[in-house]
Amino acid sequence: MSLDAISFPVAGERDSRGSLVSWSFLLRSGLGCVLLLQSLGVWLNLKEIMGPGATFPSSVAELVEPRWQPSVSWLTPLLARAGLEGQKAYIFCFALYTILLVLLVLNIRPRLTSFLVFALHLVILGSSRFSIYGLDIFANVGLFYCVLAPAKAPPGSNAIWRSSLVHRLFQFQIIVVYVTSGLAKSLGSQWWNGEAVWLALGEPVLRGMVDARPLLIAFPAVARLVGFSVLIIETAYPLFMLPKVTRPVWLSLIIGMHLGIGLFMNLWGFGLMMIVMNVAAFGSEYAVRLLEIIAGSRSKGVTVRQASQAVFTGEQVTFPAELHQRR
Amino acid sequence: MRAFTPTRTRMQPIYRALFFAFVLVQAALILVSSLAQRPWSFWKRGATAVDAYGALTGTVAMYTFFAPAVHPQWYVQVHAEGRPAYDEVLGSGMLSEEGALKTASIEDSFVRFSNIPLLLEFVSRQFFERHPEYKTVTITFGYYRIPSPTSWKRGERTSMTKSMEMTFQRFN
Repeated sequence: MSLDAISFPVAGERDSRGSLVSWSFLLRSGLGCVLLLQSLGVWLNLKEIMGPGATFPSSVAELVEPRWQPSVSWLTPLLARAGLEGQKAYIFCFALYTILLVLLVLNIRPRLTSFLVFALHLVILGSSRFSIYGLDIFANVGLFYCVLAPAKAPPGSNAIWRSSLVHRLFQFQIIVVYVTSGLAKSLGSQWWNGEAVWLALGEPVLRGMVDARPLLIAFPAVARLVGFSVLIIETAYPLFMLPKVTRPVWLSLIIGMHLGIGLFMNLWGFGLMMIVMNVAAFGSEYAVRLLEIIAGSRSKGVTVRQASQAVFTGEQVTFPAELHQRR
Repeated sequence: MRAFTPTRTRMQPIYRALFFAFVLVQAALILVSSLAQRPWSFWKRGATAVDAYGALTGTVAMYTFFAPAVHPQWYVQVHAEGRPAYDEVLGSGMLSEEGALKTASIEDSFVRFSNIPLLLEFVSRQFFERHPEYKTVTITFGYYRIPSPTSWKRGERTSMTKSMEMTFQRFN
């Protein structure tokens, strides 16, 4: 098989509007928004989470980390020259991270910004490892794909080919995440009998905007149904997400599940993060259509769709005539 | 429809081959690590490099959130005698929900590393730094016990079960 042939199954998704380049745009801006919201929340309690006065002091956390894990301590000598010592060094790093997130949301120099956000995110993780949870883990995954994915796809370049290959890899990782998570849940009895749903909704820190416990007490079957649904939605993810016919339904179910996590467990950051990842992985074409409807103008989607309509024919790349007319 | 030939260099096939190989390796790492396997562990020097690369890029990870069971949530309670008496559950005074979640994650991490006394010591240090007026503090670690739906119906509510308690005294 020649290498050119590789581009056929990957880039030849001709009927998929906006799936080639727009996915990375959605991922970058979506991740940027979610992480910006998270960082605003962290700002309010930065002293408790990161730095010498944190509950678990960063200086100790950094010692526990393996040698290869970047942390604020790596930058300390440099920052000290600028008079940024102690808590100031952590405030500076976090401020820089927040500013870069704003740039990521605004799509300014997307690849460079993605790389810097990815690197600073690792630095922050290295100094506050003990306080990370699912959101931070998936942020790391998502930011890595933001770095890998090309931001632009000029005709004839490798970018479309690379973008679609990275997109496939990203889809693969999301599938692995859900299938393994679903299988791990199915190993215990709690998700089959609904106990897990009851416990998750009853945890004091995870108390959401809506208290669903009265409903679960009045109708015990609801907990069993929700638990069983979570198992099905996660384990059967690739079976229903890969075929285009069932994709909208499964994407809606996944989005619904993560909105539920936000609403009932107050894990809004994690819920929104997973929605962004799913939409970028499998729903970019629907998102592009939705954005077009919201914007009331088709102009925003033009570049995206034209790039995706490129038809690869081995040596030659042909583009729709309207593309040349516009140029 | 017009057609054109893109600029192709000699490097392009090599570049594509390398990138394709990279994607295949990534996919293999994602799949294998999600099943809690580390087939590269026999490779002494390389194993650390693969682990480091995998951790930094989010490639080597396991995804077992709330699985196979939902574990009880931990709490750390700070109590100090004085005027006024100080009583607070760690994280409850956070200004944002994110702060409370991060505090819960810290408690969870210490449980995972089975080093609760160290956590309590750190909490006491932080407390003394912020509240110089107190001489002694008692830190309690425990978990929330959520009653079953049947017990809840009977009027039982979420309670705090004590596991460990340590008292710390200021020396300076």
